[in-house]
Amino acid sequence: MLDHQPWLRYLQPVVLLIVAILVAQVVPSRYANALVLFTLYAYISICWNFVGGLAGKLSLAHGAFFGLGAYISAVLFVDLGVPLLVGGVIAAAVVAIFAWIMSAIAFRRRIGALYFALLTLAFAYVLLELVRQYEIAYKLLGVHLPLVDDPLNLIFLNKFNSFYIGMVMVAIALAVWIWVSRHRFGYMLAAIREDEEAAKALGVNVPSVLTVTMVATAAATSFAGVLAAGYLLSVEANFVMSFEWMNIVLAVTLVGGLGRMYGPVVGAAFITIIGEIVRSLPQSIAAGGISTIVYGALVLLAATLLPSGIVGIARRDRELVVR
Amino acid sequence: MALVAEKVSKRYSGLLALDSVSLELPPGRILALIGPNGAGKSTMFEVLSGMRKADGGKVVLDGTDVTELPPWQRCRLGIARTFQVVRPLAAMTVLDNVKVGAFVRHHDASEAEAVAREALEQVGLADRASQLARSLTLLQRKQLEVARALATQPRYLLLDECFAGLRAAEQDVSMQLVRRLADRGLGLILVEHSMRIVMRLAEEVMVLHHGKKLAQGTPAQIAKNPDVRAAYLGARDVVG
Repeated sequence: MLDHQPWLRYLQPVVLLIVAILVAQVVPSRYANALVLFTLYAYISICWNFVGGLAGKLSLAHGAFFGLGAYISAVLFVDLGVPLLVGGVIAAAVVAIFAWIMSAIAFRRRIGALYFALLTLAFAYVLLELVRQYEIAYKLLGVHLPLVDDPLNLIFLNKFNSFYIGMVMVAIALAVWIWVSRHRFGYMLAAIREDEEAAKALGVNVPSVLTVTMVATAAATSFAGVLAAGYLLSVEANFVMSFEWMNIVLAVTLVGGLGRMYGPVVGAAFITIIGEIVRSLPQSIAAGGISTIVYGALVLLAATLLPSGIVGIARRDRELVVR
Repeated sequence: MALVAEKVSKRYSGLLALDSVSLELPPGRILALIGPNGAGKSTMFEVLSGMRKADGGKVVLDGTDVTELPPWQRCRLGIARTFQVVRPLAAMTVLDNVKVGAFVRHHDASEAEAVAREALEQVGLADRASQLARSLTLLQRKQLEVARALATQPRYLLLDECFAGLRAAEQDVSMQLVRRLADRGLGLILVEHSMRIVMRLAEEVMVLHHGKKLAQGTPAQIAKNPDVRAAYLGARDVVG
């Protein structure tokens, strides 16, 4: 019924944004942190969903792309006084180059799914180690941004503002998802996911479509890092480059609904709530990586019980990606 | 103007699957490629469509040498194919499957959808448009292969055993479709086992045997060719 007015679909992210802003008005300020984490999870997972859900390629490097975005923009800001947003663009360019190199290695010839996953994993660890070595050499205590209200650099005394920015990013990412999944590019991605050989025979330039997707989503993911840098104020390699972010993205997308438009949003809400519950547990239980165990268990549960995620329960209707 | 293979050879680890085979397919012509299993028919399709590179020889499309071009580029230049072992995009709807093909020439989504629906209409799958491709029967999957290839609006269409498994009445409908496409100026190559279809449909028949061209001619000439009979056809099958 909406097909006669396709632009109406683009109202969905706008409505989501307005609802989120309204809801935030009544949320106690102690939950601001959870709200910001929610937007980071949702945004990065939407970006990843183009690769993992639409194109069907298991990238394990997007967590590192996020961390690199945070680290590079923070260092440029603190050391050279480059405005955080400008530094973010530079960081995105650097991340895009890394993603392009990775794609050039991965997509030149047809490679197996396992090889691709391992290649991206290796890349993530190389990037982590590079940043870690840099930190040991030059930033032993991490990178610290000044705590002053500085909206142009995404530094806010009111933490809800980071949430609003994050929600705008989520809304934009969803709008891009709507556009892609209704146009030629999305169809080419889905065809690649289903059968690369058939896609080639149907005129799809598989390597270049995948390369464009990797580079664009990597750069987009690094912007989440910029938001995180302004929000966290202290940026440390072991935190922002941690593989935990990738674990969370996988958990969010699989639990919410792989390849579904709202999968990452629903999954991020779910995982954020779980994270808050874990955090509120007594220290004796919450210590020692219990959150990782919980995320792992959720992925297992989702994979076995809910292969189309939470969104899949409600929506079985036509999407480019129906499983 | 033609799709031409010039002395094409292809070797699979020691086995010579194609041994310097040439063919020429002008627009509007229906050429049948026949031969026993392992004769090199499917290999010829792989080489023409670019899924595999020839070890020797050239593939020329309307005067353009496409030997070095990847399959997606050949598709854009006008060669479409179906797969003998069907390759539906299983988790997508039938319409979306065909739209992928239509997007080759129509970047606008609603234009592509119109082309896709027309292709589905032609193969008789229009009423399945919103079904998932994985829910189709094998027969319907074969029709989907043809619809998808048609939606790329090719000049030359390679049909790999797309009649197999059809009942006689369904075969007649499909034969009419092929005939109509040829009348519209499409060049078609059929790989086909059913002599009934080959004899009725093809204007020219090429017989491959052990990767070599054994004979070429009109269906009537091939039916009478003693070499062909002796090689494998079995005299009685030929009387169509």
